[in-house]
Amino acid sequence: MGVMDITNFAHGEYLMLSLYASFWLFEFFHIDPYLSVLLVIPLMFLLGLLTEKFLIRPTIGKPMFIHIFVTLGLSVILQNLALLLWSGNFRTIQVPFATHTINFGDISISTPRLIIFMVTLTVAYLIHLFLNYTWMGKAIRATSQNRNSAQLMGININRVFMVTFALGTACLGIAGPLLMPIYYVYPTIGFQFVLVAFVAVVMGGLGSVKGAVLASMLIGIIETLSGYFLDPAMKQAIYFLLFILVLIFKPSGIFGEEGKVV
Amino acid sequence: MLIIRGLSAGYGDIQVLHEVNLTVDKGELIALLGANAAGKTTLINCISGLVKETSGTIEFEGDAINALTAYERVNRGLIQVCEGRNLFPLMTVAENLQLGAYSQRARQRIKENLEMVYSFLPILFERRKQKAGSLSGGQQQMVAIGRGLMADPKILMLDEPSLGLAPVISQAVFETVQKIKEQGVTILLVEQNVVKALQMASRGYVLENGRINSSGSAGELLDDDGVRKAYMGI
Repeated sequence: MGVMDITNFAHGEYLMLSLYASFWLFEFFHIDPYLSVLLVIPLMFLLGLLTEKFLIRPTIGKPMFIHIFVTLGLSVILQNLALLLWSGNFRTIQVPFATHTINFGDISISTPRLIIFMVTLTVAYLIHLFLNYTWMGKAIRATSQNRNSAQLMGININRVFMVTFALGTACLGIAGPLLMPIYYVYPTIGFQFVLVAFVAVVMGGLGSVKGAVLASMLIGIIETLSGYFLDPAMKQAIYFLLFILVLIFKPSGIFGEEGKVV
Repeated sequence: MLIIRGLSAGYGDIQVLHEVNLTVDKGELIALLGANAAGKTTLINCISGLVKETSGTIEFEGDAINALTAYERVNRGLIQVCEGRNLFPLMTVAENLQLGAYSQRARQRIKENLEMVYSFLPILFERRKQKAGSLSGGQQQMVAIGRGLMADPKILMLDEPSLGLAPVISQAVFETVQKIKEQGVTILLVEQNVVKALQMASRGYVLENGRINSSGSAGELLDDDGVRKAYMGI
């Protein structure tokens, strides 16, 4: 988002596709989601490459509403395509470990959720390493800071855009299979996740991986605690309230660089 | 080394360059002069591939490069140090320099070139861990020039390197340019400081409203009444 100045409104639908991918791989081939993740990641990466090349590329450098319409349109198409192909039913898979927990004294932690937590931290750390210590990662950062200068360094910015976009969808290729054991999938599930993801990214500061990770943890904790102590119906209201406060007092986000206001 | 014939370019409906002809030979330092909005930056952006020409040819080392993208031109050693010191402000000085050597061609000589840049511009070594955006204007210009050298240039195009700098600092910038020239790098220097640029250059071109108005040896241009009147206030 920060690199290309593009907001992909179909991001949630790619998560939906990733969930369906792991669902069908389980239904037809009985591939465990924790194994199918290895298939879904390259699949989603490829899908991202193609989307960028044929749908996003033509919108770069054009007025902002064009890419908004393109990705919003894509989101509607994908939702309806899923509805047409796979119906609106909530689908889920039955795997024994879905309800497995690990107990530490009085505390019991859901194993699938613990796995998600650890994988998320690992992936975020790997992205951090990638962005800071590889040529491609540095090219991505350079392109996000100054597109013209990046080209004058000899950076192929079209390739940077393609890789950046595909990395984003590849991450959803990790998320889908890991979420499948504890969630259900239906054509409009993407919205549920993408809304809170936007909040986390903006609250953490656009372009800051560290910010996004910390903000999403903060949101998770607030959501759980306010649901438990106040009222489950209120849990989203509380973090949105915090989000509004952050926007008022530090519009660039908690870890946002000054001057990179959304 | 660089031959430009009949080059026209513009943005949308506005034509900025009209049939520009310009030649730079190997080892030369050529001054490209002109007032604000004369089309100097458009011309070198055109040579770099950032702006697409509407007609005309650009020839580099004997090959027409019109069809090449900006990054392919960089890989051939055609390097621009852009105006306004467009650095990567959130990256360190060292990272900015490293990115200068992004092209396959430059990566092979990254170590030697970094040593050369640090010996030319010792201030950059001192500040290497600092964010580029936190430097002073003069230091940022040094980073921009250093970044250009990291690209292992065959021809270096400098877009107003002294713009907005205090006289002492712009003097230091010119001395650096002189040193780069002595290394055998071909230079196309875009400047508003006409006297200084012509003192260093062998030849010069004067761009006015997108047309080459006069050209000649540096001495001729320094003596030219038109140039003197227009740019030196004499």
